[in-house]
Amino acid sequence: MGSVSKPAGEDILTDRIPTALVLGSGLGAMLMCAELAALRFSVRMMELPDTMAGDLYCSVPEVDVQRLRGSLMSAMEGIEVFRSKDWPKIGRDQAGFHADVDHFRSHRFDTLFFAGGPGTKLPALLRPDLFEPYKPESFSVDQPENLVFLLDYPEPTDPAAGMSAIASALSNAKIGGRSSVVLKNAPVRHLHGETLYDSAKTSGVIFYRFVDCSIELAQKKCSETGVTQVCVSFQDCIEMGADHEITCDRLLLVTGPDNEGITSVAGYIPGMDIDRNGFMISDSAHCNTFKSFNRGIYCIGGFSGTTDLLNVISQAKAAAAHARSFALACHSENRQSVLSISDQCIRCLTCHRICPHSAIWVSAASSRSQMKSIGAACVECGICVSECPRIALDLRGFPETAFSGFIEDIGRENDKIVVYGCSRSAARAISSLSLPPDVVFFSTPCAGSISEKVILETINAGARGVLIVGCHHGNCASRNGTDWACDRVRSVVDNFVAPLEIKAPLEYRTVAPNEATKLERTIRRFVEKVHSKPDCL
Amino acid sequence: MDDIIIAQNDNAETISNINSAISETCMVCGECVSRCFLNTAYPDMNPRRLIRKIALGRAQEMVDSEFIWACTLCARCTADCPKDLRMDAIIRNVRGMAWTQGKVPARIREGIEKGKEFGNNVGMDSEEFIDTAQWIAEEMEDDAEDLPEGALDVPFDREGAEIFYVPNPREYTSNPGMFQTYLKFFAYVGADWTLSSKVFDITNWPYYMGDQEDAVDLVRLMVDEARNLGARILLTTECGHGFKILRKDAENWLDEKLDFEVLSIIELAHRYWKEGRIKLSKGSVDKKITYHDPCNVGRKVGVFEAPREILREIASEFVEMWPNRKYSVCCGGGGSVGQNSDMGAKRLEHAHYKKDQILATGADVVATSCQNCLTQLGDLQARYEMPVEIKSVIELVVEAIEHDRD
Amino acid sequence: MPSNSKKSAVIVGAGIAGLASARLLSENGVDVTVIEKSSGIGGHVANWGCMATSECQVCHCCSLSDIIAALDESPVRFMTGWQLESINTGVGGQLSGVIVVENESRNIREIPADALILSIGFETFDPSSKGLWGYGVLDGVITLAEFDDFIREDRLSELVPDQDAPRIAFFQCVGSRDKSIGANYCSQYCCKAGLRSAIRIKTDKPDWDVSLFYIDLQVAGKYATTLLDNAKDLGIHLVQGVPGEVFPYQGNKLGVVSEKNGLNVRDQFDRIILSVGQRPNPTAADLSRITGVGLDNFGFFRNLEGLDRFRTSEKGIYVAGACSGPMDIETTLTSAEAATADILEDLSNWREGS
Repeated sequence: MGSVSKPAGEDILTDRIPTALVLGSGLGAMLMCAELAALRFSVRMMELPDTMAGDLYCSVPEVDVQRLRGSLMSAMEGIEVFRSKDWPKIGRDQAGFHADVDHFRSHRFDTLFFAGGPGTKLPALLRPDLFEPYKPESFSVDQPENLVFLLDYPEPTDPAAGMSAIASALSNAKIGGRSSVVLKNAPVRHLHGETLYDSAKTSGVIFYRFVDCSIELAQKKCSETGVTQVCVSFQDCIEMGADHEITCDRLLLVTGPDNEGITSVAGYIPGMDIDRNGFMISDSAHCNTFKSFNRGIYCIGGFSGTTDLLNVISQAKAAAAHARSFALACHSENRQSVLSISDQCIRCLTCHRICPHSAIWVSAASSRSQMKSIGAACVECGICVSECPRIALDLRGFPETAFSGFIEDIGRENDKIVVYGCSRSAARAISSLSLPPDVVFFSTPCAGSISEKVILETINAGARGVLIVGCHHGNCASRNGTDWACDRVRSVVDNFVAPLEIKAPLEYRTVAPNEATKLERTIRRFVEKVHSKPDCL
Repeated sequence: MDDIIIAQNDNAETISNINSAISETCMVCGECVSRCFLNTAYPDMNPRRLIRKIALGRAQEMVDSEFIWACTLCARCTADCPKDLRMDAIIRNVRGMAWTQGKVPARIREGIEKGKEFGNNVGMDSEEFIDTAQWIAEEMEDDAEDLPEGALDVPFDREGAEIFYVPNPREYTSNPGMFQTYLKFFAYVGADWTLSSKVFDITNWPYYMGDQEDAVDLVRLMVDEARNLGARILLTTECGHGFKILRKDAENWLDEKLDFEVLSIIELAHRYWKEGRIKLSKGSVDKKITYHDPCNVGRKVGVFEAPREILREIASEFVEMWPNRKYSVCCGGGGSVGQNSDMGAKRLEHAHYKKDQILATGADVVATSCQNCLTQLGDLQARYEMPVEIKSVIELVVEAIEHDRD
Repeated sequence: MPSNSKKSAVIVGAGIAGLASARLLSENGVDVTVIEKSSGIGGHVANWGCMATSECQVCHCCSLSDIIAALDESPVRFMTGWQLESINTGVGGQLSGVIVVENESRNIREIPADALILSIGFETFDPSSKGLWGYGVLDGVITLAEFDDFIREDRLSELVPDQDAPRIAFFQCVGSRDKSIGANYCSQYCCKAGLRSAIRIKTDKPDWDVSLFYIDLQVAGKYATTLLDNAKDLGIHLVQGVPGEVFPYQGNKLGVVSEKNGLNVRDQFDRIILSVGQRPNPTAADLSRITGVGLDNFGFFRNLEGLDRFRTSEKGIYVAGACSGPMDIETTLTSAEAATADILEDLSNWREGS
């Protein structure tokens, strides 16, 4: 490779080429490397242990996997690949990361990419000796065979995986083999998925639809040839008249990514954890599934819950573009001091632990460690500020005085109903509403920035009621800010409002930025509730 | 002709054994389940299930079932099938298997055999047909003074006549009144027409049975006769399937272009009216009229507007049934059901959707343009004592013309 | 006029795809102008309601608000009420700029452009063109988009006035997977959208009876099983087979026949919600003529294959979102951002070449 020219359109990255480490194996990791290289990243790849071999499904003939692999191989030339049996030790290092690739070498990277697959999910319900997992990347039929593809068992198969299986069933049928597909839902989720399904049917692939819990497997010896065969029996959900039984030489089980396999992986990454579906947590509701709340970390492919090759191609490209803008932001002057950490800090690590964006870094000097904020990673949600036991943190854009000033105002007016709302959801929704005269709305960076102290002080100052409005659970831009708010309201109610018989109502509600009408109703109901308690002062 | 929309689903039809190609793209979407008027009469059977049985290798169950004989081939279920399947073709396919196994309703078998021997399903020879036709014409002598000159001369085998008219056997057996109506119609419009003494049955019962070989033979007879006579128009009577086969399938089946036009008599009436050869005056029939789209004429060939335009002109009030046109509900007597004595009174019980539809319009007259529909609707009227008259469109046209002459 | 050092991109269509591309391009230092034919931005997504119960159902509708908020603080220029008129090419057929025209005044303006993104989105299927669902004939048969109005405006209770426990049915695949209307493809968004809506109703109104009639449930991604499990847990009836006919029944009810457990069953509902599929945007034909980007058999923009799937036959012209094939919001966002990556790559290559 010759000298790397500057990417178009800006000058900030002139001096420094952003660096990336791609962890993973298989097509997904190669795709990620290729896209990053295309955007002039300096890329290194680390091949993960065998268990992480990718199982990407190519849903339709649109992508020729062999050709794709070939072109990716050439794109990989010049990219350094580490191989290791063990996972690297990974940690935050200012805006970037360091990874100890072995005992001797530690490297620093601006961005980190997880592009592995967690392997295929295999249900424990079936006799493992009777089936083989369907691996589209390696599956091929040279001789006509008698095959059965079993989908949607026991959980729905990802449509991309299903379409891959149909394509394989079709190619077997075309060379004279017998293909049967046993499923609950025929997968067609692609522009040409229906065409694929149609041509499989017209080429003699037979589709059966099984009724829940009716699948049974058995081994059978063919009376003529003496060959051992697998016998699949089930009920068809439309033609229920009788049980169906098909025998085959090979039973291929088509499932999806194994979310349980991800848990072990996530442990290696700082601040990385698992969402409610068992896939690596990602900022899915606001951006895309490939972008983590941990700024600078991206995960594509199986880890993010998709095994659709086409989708992974998109993810790789989009993640590369996002990473590039993140690298730009890292070098932007005005991001440097969004969060200040005063010398009140006792290095209790609370902020480091709870920051959803991994934006607070411990600079581990041998004599004295220091908390440092990472401007490019910080989204100024204020959750760290709200939990800091020493009040050592302060946001430049939303200083601590903002709350105290507001509460003072409330104290002067004495009969106001206070609505604290997240600037992302409630504040946007409320912009089109006119509020009742005794309601004051105060926009906070995130519902999670409202500490118990703020709530109590607001009540103390004489507010007739306090309503806290956050984003819906699972929709918080700072992962769990809205859950913080919910817990704090509950805690204040349990520990203070109820025992002290405080009359001012305190409530927590959720809303989305596009739910103005719902917010209006929520506030109206809260106001009615406040007004129905005349003695709340 | 812009009022003719050729319906979609125009697959070539070939029938021998169960041909899985005709149904294999079914994706069990279920659209047909809800559109079949037999869905209450046969609660455990529907078009989708039938296809499913074929797909899973259990077609024989269908061959032995009553359902395939209760089906009227109306094809409403697949009127806009997402996979362009055609239920009428599928059912005929299954019936074809029954035919080869000798499992065909006796009355239909008899008709087909007569058709093979005589060229018509009633087993009439040329001489008998000529006598009968002339006798029916003579029966009108009482009203002769109202009729134009020569109205009672039935033309046979007139070479070079513009129109070769093929009737339905009902006209010279059970329902001679219809034949008289058409004679009057030809007379009033001054048509240049002829009958054939050899080919005088528009119906094609082998078609109902999936007996493709015999079905093609019958079409061949008609086409050859039209050429022998040198007719420019092969005019079909108000007969759904006969018209549909000649118009839509004949060229495919025979694999040749027809050098004459195939018209239904209502299309001819509509054309003559537009050309000014018939004068129809507004509201000349003082009745509230609705129109029943015969499946073959409407859904399968696409003649929707010609009869409506005529009826709107002559009726004092015209109302639509809902649904109509492409989605019209079958009368319940098509596809051999009306001729199949095994189906007996069931065909009237099965047709309750149609009955409800008719009653909902509040019409005095249900007009249609298929003699099979006419018979079935007439029987329905009697069975349910509906306060309506059932009439053919041409009957009403003749009434309108006569009204204006008075 | 942007400075010479900056590369510029023009985006046609200010739906969520165009806006997502605009944001990411701008964040990467590209000068962006967004052209929108109508008077507002946001496209279809702006009309869709949040489907969250108390928990987010990951419909991605609110992404639009996030993107617009980010764009408000960006230098991206918007030209609403303008349309693409023609494109200019320089040496070697390289795109150099576009001519746009204002709808009313017919004013013409030239904008330099090194890259052009087509992101004109889709049109929803009009179910009145397939008569037997009774859309437009029977009161109570509405589209998913119309149902969304009730959610967005927070008046679900008014969906069926005067009924304490109404029966609601969703019909999936309306206008999708249908050769008879030239749409033999899956619209990809509607299974999840239908399920989310059903879950939303059932959570808000546990007494209502909710059924979802489907052909094949296409639920992909990590939330797929959650959606299905939630639907089952809430007691939503998932019925295979979509009725092809709706008839008036006992006055103001809607009757359908479907097959359940092997028997034809007559059901009645108060509202039937048609999950309408995505059809190509009719203006794609005009833009195809202007840009030279071809259309596929269905009428979507023809994109290149494999790694180049956001590029087109025309150098410098890219596709993003549902104008190259049906997509849900999540896939639309990914595609829009992926197109951005291709533009960044190509823009830097050209500089190297020149």
